Amino acid sequence: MPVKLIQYWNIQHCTQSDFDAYFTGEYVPRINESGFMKIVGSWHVASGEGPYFITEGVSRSVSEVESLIMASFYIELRQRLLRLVYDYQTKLLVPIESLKPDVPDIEYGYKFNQHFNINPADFYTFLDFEDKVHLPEMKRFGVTIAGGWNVAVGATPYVIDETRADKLEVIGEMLQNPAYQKLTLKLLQLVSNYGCKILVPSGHINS
Amino acid sequence: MTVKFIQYWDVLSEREDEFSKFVKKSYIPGINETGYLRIVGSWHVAAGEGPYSIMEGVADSVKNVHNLLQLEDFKKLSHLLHFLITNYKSKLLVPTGPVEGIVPADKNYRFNHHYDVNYDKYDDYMAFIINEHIPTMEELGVKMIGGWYVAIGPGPNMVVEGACPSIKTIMDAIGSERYRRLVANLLSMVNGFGSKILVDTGLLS
Repeated sequence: MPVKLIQYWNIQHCTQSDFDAYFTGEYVPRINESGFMKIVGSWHVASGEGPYFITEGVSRSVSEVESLIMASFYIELRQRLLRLVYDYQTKLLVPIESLKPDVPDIEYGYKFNQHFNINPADFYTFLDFEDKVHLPEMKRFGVTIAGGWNVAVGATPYVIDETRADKLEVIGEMLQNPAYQKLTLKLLQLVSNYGCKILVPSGHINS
Repeated sequence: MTVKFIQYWDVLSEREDEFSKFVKKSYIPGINETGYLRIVGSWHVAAGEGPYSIMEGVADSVKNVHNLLQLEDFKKLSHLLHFLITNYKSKLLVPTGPVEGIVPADKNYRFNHHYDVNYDKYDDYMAFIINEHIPTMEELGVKMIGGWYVAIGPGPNMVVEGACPSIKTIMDAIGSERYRRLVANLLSMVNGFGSKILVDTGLLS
């Protein structure tokens, strides 16, 4: 099953053009060439909490991510990146077993991601709700389920439900639909630290 | 000077019906009857961080909010509310300019930004808000209805409120290149940037 290495940062304003050149000209190509991981998308957080810039890398296994992050070329790449950005954070995401992730070669569309912790006492009820109610209902609003992930390494909340839409309008219509609001209220009965993000392509990789 | 008293919470599991009944029949009317604060909005966070429910109140002065908080009737209402909710927090917002605080009369959706201003860039920030941010957001269809400083309560310290009649307008705005450039510029003057899209709960209607 694929795993994801998500990197978050804010770009130092005075280095925006240096960042753009470095990110697209060196950082992404050299990581992709390594064969350990492919960066499939880069996003701006259009609504939700920062950091504002998100890159999404996909590997075949956790051990490949480990090989990448221990490689000297990657350490050097990251050091150079850190001169251009701030608030750098990472998360390693592993897929929830019951849900096969939909990972394209290059990302497309827009993302709507919900993140939360499952209430320990409601764990099995949550699994049932997720499988039979939450994800099927989300699909009815026109979004596709891109994956369900656990944060193996990095800051919680530790569950991320990732959905994708071809148009932002689809996400907007969902958010104002009373049925979506009811569905979210049901979810909130089983989870804590709930939040969500709308991601739009940053234009560096996917558009 | 209009100020805002904003309350945030999540409703406890299995208590939604009781909560709705209490808020509609007791909590909102009880607060409004005091004359110190008027509840003008009840929102769900459709996109952004929780808590998921937001209650928006406006008062004519900070003193009025303090008077409310000291009232026995309010303390009782607040005590009862806490049986039904969790993750409660509140903020007292005072205007910073340059946007005059407005409460839209018609049904609307909110698109709010929050952040801490880098104070060594405060003058640049204010000029940016007046000359670029407000005009651009309004051209994108999002009317700016308030710029607030969090006088009491958890940060970030600045809240800038936008409103528009349809959520599609917000989606069109956040997907546009102009909005992207605007935020990129804003990020050079602020830290801890985040945003929320708020949808009316219907509890006030």
